Amino acid sequence: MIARAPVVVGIGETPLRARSTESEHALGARAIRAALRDAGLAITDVDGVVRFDREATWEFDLPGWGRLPQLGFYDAVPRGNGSAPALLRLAAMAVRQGLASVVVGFHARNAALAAGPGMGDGGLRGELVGPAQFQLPLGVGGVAATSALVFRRYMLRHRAPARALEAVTVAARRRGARNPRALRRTALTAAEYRRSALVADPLRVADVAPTATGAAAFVVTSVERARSRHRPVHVAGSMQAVIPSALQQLPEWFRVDRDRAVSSASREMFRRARLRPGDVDVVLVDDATSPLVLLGLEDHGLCRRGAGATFLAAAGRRVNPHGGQLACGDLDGVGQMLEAVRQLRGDATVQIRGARTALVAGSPLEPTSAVLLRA
Amino acid sequence: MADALPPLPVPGPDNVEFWEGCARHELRIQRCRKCRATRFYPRPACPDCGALEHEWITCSGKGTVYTWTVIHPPTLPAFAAIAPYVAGIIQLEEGVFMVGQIRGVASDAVRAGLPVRVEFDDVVEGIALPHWRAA
Amino acid sequence: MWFGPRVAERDVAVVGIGQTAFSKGLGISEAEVAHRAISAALDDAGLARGDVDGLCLYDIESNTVPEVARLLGLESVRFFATHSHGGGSYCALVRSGVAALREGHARVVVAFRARNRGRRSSFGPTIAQGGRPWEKIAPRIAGHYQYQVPFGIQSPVQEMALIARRHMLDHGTTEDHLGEVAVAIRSHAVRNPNAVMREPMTLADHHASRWVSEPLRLLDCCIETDGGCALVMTTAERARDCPQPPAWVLATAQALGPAHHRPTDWFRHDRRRWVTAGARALWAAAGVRPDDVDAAMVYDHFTPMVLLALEDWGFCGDGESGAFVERGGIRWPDGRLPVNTHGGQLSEAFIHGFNNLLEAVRQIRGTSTCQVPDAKLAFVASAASDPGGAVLLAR
Repeated sequence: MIARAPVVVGIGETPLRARSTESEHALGARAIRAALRDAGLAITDVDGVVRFDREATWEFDLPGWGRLPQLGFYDAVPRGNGSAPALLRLAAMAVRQGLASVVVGFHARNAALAAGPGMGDGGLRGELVGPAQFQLPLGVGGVAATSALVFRRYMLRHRAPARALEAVTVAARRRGARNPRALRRTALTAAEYRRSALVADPLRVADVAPTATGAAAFVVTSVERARSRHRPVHVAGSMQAVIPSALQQLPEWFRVDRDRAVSSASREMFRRARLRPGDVDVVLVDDATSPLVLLGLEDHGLCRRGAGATFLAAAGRRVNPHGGQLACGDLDGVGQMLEAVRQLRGDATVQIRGARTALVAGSPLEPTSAVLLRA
Repeated sequence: MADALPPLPVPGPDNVEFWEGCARHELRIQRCRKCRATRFYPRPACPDCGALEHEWITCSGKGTVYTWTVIHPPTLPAFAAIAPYVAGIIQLEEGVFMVGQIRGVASDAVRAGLPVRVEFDDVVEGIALPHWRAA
Repeated sequence: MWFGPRVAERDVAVVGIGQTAFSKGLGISEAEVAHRAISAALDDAGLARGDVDGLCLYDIESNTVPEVARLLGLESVRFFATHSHGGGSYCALVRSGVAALREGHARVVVAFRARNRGRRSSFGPTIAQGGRPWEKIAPRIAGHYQYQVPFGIQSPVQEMALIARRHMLDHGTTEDHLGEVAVAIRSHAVRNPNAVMREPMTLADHHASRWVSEPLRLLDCCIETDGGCALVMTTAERARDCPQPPAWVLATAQALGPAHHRPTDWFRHDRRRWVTAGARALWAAAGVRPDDVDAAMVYDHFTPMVLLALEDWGFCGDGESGAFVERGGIRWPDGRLPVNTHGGQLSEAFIHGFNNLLEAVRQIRGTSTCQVPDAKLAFVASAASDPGGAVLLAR
């Protein structure tokens, strides 16, 4: 069997907003249609679908699904910032293995109007059955509190100052100010940052990405099939690593050697792609909160453990050039992939010149994933 | 409880037109503006051509039984009082399929193609459910 | 458009299977069920937890990916994927795992299903805590269920009944055909010490069982049980060192289908088109024909879906499944295609079809309690609904 080189040929999204009156179905449909248009393909060309498992729109909800000739591949990943890059991983796998020739991946989010396919939660709200029952009721919930606890250990371990976060956030906001698509479009001075309210010490409001409402989608096919007017973006490598979820089982996150699990999987990703961290021109690391940027850079070998802040200072705009989720809003991590594709097409708002290789890394707080893209 | 409510729908941006129509005892469905296909249940994009542009039309309320079943206990409390009851898929004149109870006919006399007409149950303030009566 | 799997090779195999006891109430959590099933499968494969680097599971598992990993001490998992559809997905888990192995994303993949749905297991009000999901319906429903539940179609058996009725109208399928499916599969369970329902069933017994949703009776429905099943897959290289004879994954397929959970859509689209495409892809990739199959494990949550699956995957023509099952067509040992030789979801246990995969492996190994002599090819599938899929295992 000839291996088919998978390429991203289309991306599409709706604007990310704080609120929307559109359903997740409507938002998803718009993003998917936009991605297909961008790819120069029609819905009837699609024979593969990848999505988050907890997603409102399923395979038989896609716009025009009734006329799909077939669906040779459909698969999902756990919903969340950790697995967002894995959407691309699965799509690439399907194309290379010949399970499908055109794969659509997408995500839509409108928390206020979320209406999944389920039957409802059966009545008693607030009942927890998993390990989250050991932290949420105690007031330790959400990505901000979790990140704060994680970062506190990071500070102790690496003797890093809390001010390291300020650098991450101020830089993100500065880039976001140049991005008309950003939700937070004003830059922050250091003084403004320090004056802003604490959310979960040492995280401040600005250290937490606003959750966004909207949708994003991509289309992957084989390089032989690509018809898009854009430069095809190759999926050169990918990884996943199962670690505990800090959001659900925080103590476990500290108990296992998650650093080693993620780093070794990342090294294998680079090795299989015949690339090195030094080859990466633009980095999209998950920044649902600012400390995660440091973890992400270190996890993927862009710098030593504890040196994330130093690397960031030197790397300048190459990290989350669009302002990251901190400025653009967080769509469960999916928006980051689209920015990477734009950068490699030469089509980004804040363009990194000569960008040929991008790393997209998912959240380090839960089972995680990453992809290496090349143009 | 004798008058237990059935689980009720949640109106949202995609379906509010349908449920508000029902509250007025009107059966309204979408028709794609691009390929003219009708669709139900309400959703933002056409299952046939994928277009988002659509309009709402008011149905005649007439249809035929496409398939049916007779449901026996145990059921949800709301249906306990009427069980066993006939429910089915109705094909409307406009082409779409809907699910509903079939009334006004003995359960062993239901047949495919039986003409039916919509009738609305006012369940709670603002919510009426369309069911079907042998015409 | 090429959408089929690659040409059949003996490069990936199921090398381990494991299960818990099946019963109407095991008295242990789904976490423990998962642990037991996966541990048993790893033992069967002669592999250790540290060897596992791929995980394929349902998103409807009450235990998430990181929880399962911690539960079993799996520290090296570098591929994981989830699936949402119930019986439509059990073959998809295998397809996904096979792809990961061929890609080199993983070397040892575990796929499993842990499911406590016995009536005695309904230990909480939320769906995650066992019991019947449709008895835990919220007072307000967003999503597509709002177009059926408030109207009186509340559960899968009622959705199936609508489909079965239409099949009877269109093709002359009878209650006797439905009953034959139940009776045949029960006869297989009688010989299976792990099956929950082992009392022999006659057609008269079937017809005497109470109506649930006409035309479906109690004995047309799967049983409500607790249990878990797991399997381990690896590449040919490693399979050589495993103690059990490998069950090679010759081919897999996925097929789009309307969801039976959406009765408004079931008849709206040309389902047969998708079904035909999926079946064609499967047999072409495998280089074999339905006639070559020695035993078939078909998703049997309700008897009519067995009939549909036989048609969908090409064992008989459209509408001809009734005739196919008549006169013992699917009965072991003399039927031309023994179906669900373990008793399936109807009589062994309801594990969303996962037990079907395990039984197919047993047929290849020669260890089934209803063993088809010299079985070389075992077929596993769900009807093309939900969407569906299929797996072909070979010796």
